[in-house]
Amino acid sequence: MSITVQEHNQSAPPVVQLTNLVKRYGLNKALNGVDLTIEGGKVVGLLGHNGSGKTTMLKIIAGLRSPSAGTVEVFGMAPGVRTKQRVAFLPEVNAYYDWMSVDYLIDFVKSFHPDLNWDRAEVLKKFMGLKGNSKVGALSKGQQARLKLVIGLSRSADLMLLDEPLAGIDPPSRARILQALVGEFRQERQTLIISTHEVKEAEPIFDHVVFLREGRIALEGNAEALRAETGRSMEELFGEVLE
Amino acid sequence: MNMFVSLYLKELRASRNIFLICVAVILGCDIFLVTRTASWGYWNAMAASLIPLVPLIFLGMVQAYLLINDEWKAGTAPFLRSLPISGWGIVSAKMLAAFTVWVALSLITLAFSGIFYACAPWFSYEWLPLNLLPWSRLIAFIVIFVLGISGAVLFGSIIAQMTFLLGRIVNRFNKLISTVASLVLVYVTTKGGDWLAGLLSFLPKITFEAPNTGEGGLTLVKQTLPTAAVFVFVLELVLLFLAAGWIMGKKAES
Amino acid sequence: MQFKIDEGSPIYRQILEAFIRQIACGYWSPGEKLPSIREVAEMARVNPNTIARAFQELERTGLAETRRGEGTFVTTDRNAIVDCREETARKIWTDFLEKMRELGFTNDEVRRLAAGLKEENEL
Repeated sequence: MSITVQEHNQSAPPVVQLTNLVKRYGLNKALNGVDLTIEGGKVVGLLGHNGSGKTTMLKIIAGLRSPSAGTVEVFGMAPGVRTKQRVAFLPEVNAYYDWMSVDYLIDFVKSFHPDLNWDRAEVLKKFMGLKGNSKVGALSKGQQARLKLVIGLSRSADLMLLDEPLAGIDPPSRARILQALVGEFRQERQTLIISTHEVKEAEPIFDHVVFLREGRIALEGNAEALRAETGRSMEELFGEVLE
Repeated sequence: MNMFVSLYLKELRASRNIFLICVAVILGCDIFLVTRTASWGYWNAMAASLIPLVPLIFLGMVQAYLLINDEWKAGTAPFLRSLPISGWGIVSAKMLAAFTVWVALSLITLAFSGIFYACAPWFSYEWLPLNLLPWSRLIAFIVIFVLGISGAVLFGSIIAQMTFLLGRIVNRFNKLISTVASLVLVYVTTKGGDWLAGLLSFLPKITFEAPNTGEGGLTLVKQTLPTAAVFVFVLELVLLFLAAGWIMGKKAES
Repeated sequence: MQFKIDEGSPIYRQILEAFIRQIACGYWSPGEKLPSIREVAEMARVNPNTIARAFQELERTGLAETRRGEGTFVTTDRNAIVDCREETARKIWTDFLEKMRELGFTNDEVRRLAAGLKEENEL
């Protein structure tokens, strides 16, 4: 008797499908022909140096930027209002309104995402050490990073995009964040894409890793398979593949 | 709570500081004018208390620009545009909030002027008669006047938002593109509007009576308003709104 | 339950070996319910699929069995556990001998070392 861990509908379109995706900023190509398919239920590590195109890729998937060439499909659709209902994008830099209190912000998000669970938000707030009446602008960078996660994890988004969730976080907090991510992750319904350049702590949670270098995929594959084939950790591969 | 209402309330909250500053300024002006009743004459001072209504019209238009500009300046645009609401929803929430602020400030100005007027006896002045003109015949004028000004504020605010958004399509040279775009936009809407109104000049005209100061003092004079102009105005407003919402939803980068 | 993970080799195998050792040494009693995949994944901060694969392999060794809807349980077959314990011990022993050989020890030297440790009551 085997254990079923995948309950995503096999006949449904992949959660993310990028075909020859190109993104230009002026003369600079942030993404230079990316082909990527991400199936449901996976935790994907998007690994690359700063400037390799990770943020651009995530923003295009989130519908915040449009491709210069190529196509992007999320849940089989072009990014738009319908995909945004099911996607949670947690940007690297704090994007919440400074004047809002934590509770106001959660209420605000809930009016757009009815699936946000207030009870879960309360538990996560406590776990992350955040007070409901603190103003977002008054929070430290670490607290703001944890606030993003409270909001992201209180929802039941089918696709979560995390841009450098561990950046600027002290090591003990990183462990807690990874624990919260794994603990809250609902494999039957959710898919997670996490971009980072700090690979060591996060790599055990990845199913699949994508190494991005200068806007192109340099290497891609199942993390455990790569470990078996190359005898290297993802962190070591990061150093080798991305120089 | 409904998505749009929630966004609208958030825009109002974001406008709070400007609103309070304006209320303070208007109050300050009125208090200043109260001290001037002796030297300027009561009637002049009271009329002067209505002056803020004019810059308020420009504020109403600029406020929409500020609301949208702040999103990118404060770095909240990625959050805003990741919400599952259409570009039209965002644009209209901001426009409506700016419009609400304009209406509120205008009403406050009028209220202060009204108090000023009502307090005349305390300064030993006679109330000026308000029935200089028959009110019943002025109703059409008042309605058209208010609608016209409101329309102008809305029109100005959508142009303001459009110029910002046009600058945001490309992630470079935002200010330059914005400035050029606003000039082109104003030119096209006025020239195009004139041309289209000319084509539609066969449409009927609305007549109403408007106050006029002239040789015989304050009188009522017949004026006409071409329906074509109204039609063109509404059409341009709708087209600009559709374009702005589309850019905000699909083309702006954040 | 702490797992010391070396990211340079497949993690599922390390989780598997950790559970085998724990069963062999009696940390888990026969028939005891193991923590759920989700619980292990959260505590170890490892992908649930990886833990699932480890559990699958654990089942294949005969040391555990999965009951649908209930979880994974240590086998009640005490012989299997005894065998596992012995096999784990042999493996540790073989690893030890290999390390000693890498150090340049001959079999005689190893026996002499063992005798010396016995005198000191270390062995």
